Amino acid sequence: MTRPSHSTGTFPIGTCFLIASSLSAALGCGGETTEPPDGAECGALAEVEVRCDGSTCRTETGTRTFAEADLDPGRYVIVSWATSEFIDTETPGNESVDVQYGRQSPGALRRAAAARRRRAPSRAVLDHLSVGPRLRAEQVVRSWQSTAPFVLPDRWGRAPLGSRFPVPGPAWQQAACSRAAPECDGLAVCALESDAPDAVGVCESSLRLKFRTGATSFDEVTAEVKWRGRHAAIVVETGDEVSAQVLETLGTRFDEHIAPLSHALFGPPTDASGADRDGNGLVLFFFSHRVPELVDGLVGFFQPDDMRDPETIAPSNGRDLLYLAPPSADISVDSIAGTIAHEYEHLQNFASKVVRNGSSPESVWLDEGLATLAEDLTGHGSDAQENLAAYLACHSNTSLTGASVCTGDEVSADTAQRRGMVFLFLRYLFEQAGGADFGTAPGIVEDRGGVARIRGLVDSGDTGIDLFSDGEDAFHRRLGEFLGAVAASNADYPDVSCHPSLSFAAPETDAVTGQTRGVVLRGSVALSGGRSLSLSGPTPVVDFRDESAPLPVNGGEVRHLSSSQASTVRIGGPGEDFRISFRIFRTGSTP
Amino acid sequence: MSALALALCLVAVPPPGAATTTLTGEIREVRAGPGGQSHAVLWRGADIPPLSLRTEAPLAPGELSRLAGAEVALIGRSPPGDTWTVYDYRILRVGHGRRRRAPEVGILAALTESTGTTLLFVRKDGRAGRLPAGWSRKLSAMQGAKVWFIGRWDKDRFRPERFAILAPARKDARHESP
Repeated sequence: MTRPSHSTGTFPIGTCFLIASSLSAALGCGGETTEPPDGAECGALAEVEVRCDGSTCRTETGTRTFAEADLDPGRYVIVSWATSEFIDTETPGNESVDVQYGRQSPGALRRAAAARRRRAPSRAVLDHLSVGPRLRAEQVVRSWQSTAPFVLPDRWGRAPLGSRFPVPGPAWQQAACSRAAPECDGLAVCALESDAPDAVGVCESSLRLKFRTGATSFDEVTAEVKWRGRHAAIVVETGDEVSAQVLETLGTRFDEHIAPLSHALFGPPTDASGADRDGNGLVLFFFSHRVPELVDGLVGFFQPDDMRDPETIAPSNGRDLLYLAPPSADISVDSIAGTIAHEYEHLQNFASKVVRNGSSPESVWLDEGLATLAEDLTGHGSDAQENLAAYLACHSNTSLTGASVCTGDEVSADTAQRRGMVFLFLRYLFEQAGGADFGTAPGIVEDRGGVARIRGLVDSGDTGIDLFSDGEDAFHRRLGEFLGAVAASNADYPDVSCHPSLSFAAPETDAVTGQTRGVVLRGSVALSGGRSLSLSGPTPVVDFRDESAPLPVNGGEVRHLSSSQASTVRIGGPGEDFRISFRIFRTGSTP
Repeated sequence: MSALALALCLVAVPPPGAATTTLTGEIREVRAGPGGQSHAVLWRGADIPPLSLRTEAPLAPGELSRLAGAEVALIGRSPPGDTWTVYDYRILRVGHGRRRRAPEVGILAALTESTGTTLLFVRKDGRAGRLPAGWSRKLSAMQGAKVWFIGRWDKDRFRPERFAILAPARKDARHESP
């Protein structure tokens, strides 16, 4: 999926775009036309000039006017947003700020016209979302994690001590393997004796693994190697059943499709020398009936403590390992494959930030957004689409970085709404950088700029908002660009929705999985299992009127305005700590 | 009256005989893995190890994490181990920016009248103020939630400036208007 060639997609807030109804083609910023994805001509962007921004507008008794604009009669869509430069990883900004919308005109709004444009809420009933168990489980996994600083284990790159069965036999073979040649015959994985470049080891066909049951407690279980490929080995807890066909399907899909794409997008799951945690060159997929027993409906998870030293953190397996539920009537193979793509990104991200860069782990909001993007880009985007629906249905109360204010029962800030928003934000960055061409064969991606953009986020030693703060107001500006696309993409606003910086590329079908890759904000998308999801854009969209309303910090909302008379609109808020802006697009004449 | 009863429900009661102390500091959310903002700690300066915190009813799980960045006075006790159990707290200052101020803590309650439903901010001491219409509409699903506000009172109205949810509505604290 490649973006058509276009300008950078950035816009100088408050400095361009004076569009009068009769002059719209002539006075747009740059005055040039742009080729939209479908090849039809797109006129100059119908964006209204914002007369002042935060540094030049008025301050009155603690309330600051951040921006103003004069509007001719017509219909408009208005995007407003608020950010704070004081939010960082320890203070994620779980608050909302009062935004004051103002409008002065001799006439009243044409409410009937505005009402006609209101759309039904996007379909997102949280109780039905399949992502719920994952959200709950990842909260559990986090609550069990060690809070001690991560220290690169001495035994990085070799098998953990004490995990081997005591005597040779069916569990492990006398057959030798080495770091240079870690391949084992049959269904076995190499356990290296040291982290030396010339280390030798033995081939294990059974493993002793730990399954964590609490912050410090765990059960020891045995598991047999049932499948082994180039990038992964699948081990199944003794007594659990996973059919050979399922093992082959999942193993092959990972080896040939998910891993090559994930490595291009998010980097290797290794240290700087290229060694993975246990030195066998394989990520272990550990299937156990205990996974869905941990949280009902849970399909899988990554426990970062497994990257730590088991001698320090007893429940650690000292392996690069994902825990997975065996397939069942409720857990499809597609669902497991999508979970692997999601959890593998967490493993890759940890390897980059913590192991290779010696940095902090990635912020929750961004790491979960990247993992959701991994589902989408590897062709397993059904959960990502459901997260997106949850965001669109609560767009005006969702923060990119903090807690959302949506259903009233959120305990954690890590919600489906926020995952959907961050996913869409990252998808926007990916597409605006040029996207990528995914081939018709498995595991093929040709970068057009989007892969490098995402890879840069993961490879950097920075985390969270710092990754987007490369210049004055950079994060604020990027959020405004993104929210413009949320408002306009697929909305058929003349000379607005067709603009490449305000639209998402048409989705495509992944050649391997048959699932949707990409987003459509207004329309229907196919999900796995023959399901579909219908989206109606951001909802609810209310009229722009004189009122005071909350806006989540690092979030925004979309409003409509229809007026038969000229008017002046403004946006204000507390005169400290925040940056508040709006963008205004003309969408038509007054009916 | 129901609003006052709701407000009083917010006051935590330490177990009988428990010796409690008060500690002040800044709440931080500690991360321990990829995205692992696993729990809240009390930060008391670079020279003092941060104190791991857990809450006990009626404080909600995750309530302290919602206060990341706030300066607080915590009322609780230390059982054996490294974790401090919090029974109640006062928020001394919130706001990530230049002017940090003490917010007012209370709950959101709905007032149904013939003209429609208005959302109220009910302070811990029972004082209630109507929120602006735009706030009522956007927070209508939040009835019963424990919140903090910075804003000003104007007779029976409350004009908010900043706000955050501290805990979702307690199911046992929901009241229907007569």
